[in-house]
Amino acid sequence: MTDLEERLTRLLHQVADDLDVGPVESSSSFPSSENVRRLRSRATHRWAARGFAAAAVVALLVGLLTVRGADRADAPAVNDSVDPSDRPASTLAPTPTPTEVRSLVTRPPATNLPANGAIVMNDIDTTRQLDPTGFGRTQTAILPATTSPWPGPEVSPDGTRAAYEANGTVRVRDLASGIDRHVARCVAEACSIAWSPSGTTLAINPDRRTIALFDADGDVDQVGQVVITLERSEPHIVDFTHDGERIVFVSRAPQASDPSTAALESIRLDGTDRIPILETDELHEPLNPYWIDVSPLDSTIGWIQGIADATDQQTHANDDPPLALQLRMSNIDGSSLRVVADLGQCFCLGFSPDFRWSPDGLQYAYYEANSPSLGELFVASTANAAAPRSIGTGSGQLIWLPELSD
Amino acid sequence: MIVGDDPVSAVPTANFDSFYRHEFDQQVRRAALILGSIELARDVVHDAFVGVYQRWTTLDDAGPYLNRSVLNGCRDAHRRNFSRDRLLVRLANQRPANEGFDADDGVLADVISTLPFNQRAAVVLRYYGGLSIAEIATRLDCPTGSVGPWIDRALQSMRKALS
Repeated sequence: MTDLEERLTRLLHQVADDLDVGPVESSSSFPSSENVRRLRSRATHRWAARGFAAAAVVALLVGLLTVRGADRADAPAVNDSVDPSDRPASTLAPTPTPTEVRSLVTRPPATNLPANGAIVMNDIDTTRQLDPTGFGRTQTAILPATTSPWPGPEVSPDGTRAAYEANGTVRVRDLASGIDRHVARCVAEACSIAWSPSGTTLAINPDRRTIALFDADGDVDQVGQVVITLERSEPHIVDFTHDGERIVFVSRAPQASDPSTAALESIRLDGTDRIPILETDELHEPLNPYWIDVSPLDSTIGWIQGIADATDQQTHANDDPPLALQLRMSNIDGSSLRVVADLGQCFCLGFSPDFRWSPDGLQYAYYEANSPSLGELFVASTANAAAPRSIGTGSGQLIWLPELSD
Repeated sequence: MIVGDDPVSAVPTANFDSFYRHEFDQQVRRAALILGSIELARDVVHDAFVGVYQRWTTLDDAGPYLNRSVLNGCRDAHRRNFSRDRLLVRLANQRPANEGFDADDGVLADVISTLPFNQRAAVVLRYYGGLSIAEIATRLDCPTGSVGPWIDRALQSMRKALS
């Protein structure tokens, strides 16, 4: 064994030894829990799913048509609350002293720039900065190195604050002063955060199972108002609709359907009127929840849809097959589903696609995959989606910074 | 340092609960190294055990079925979660320097987290699980001749990064 192999072996064993696997739950729940029984391995469905791929596509189309006309049955109200005592106190950390906050306020050249803000490419692999590299102005906010990269910081609608998660707490950074306020606890590995259009409320997925509302100016011990407790423990991206009346989220294995299904759904803030927007076959059209954004202007939802090509799966049977990506949009009720752009093939290694609406909802930005590690960044207007503008290349999460009135 | 035995092969399979308790911890650790997420690994392993439970009375040997289910689950989870797998890097970087970790370990962890799924899985099964090339090929359901090049390419990436 070479030195490298020995070092590799030692590293893997030491890291594995450090892992806190947690308690082994009783297997007695296996036969009795209906939810658990539904969680069969996708692997056992693989061949059946491949054999019925054509049927799945037809079913998807029928499902979408059905969703358009479906009655919206009221779901039972859920007005529970998140008990902070259920979360481990050990995840709390004191407010860090901001290491660096600079107000640049440099006005960029007019060419190639969105009309109402700057686009930030938050490079998750090298920094935790809100860094308007090459695209704009305003502040560079240095966030703690432990900031969760996905989902990354979310800038408030007025552009003055950024909400992010680090060391088990959700924090709101005042971008002008650099002061953090801890507003909620987060026990999930990646807490999804969304600002309400008014900028007063945060919708957070704090524990991989619930979606709850928190006061953006509250303290870390505040009790959130649970909107929904989901069927499966997974990260669930959340976003507000433009009117602030509903939450949009991604769920797996919804409503007792097959676990290989992912769904985009919405629900009122009081936990009623849960409706599906679309369902996809996870094996062939994986729905990555981090690539979904709801327009702040109207009822349009945009997302990046992966499409696993059966031929590619055979060609790359011994490697990671690439995904064909499409930018798709629909209305909040699932109507007007359309393919807005083909984004190329993505091996999704060092580069991750992303899609974001501008703060005014009149434009949107997305990557087209042009290499395994870089994407070409495009901005298009809703008025002329057929003529996107290329404004550079990069990787990492896209964040629009609204133009401040300074 | 490599542990040459395949832990599942020695498991008492007469009782599902003992099988479950014997296997859970190690399966989660292995899946976490592949996926880069301990929570995702728990979900994947739990799903695989549910599948085993449902077939418990019909499976001659639950071990291989479990191994294959966990790896397939990892593959699906990897595709759904894409770039979130930074656990290895985080854990390596959290290690104090006086505990034997140095900058090269951080580089290695970084390279591992960016490897394609099959390369990463092969590296974990080889250098953490201690499996032979043939055993890895069986687990990953691929030709034996594919595994060696995957590991070689992974090691080349690491050497290049270290140099």
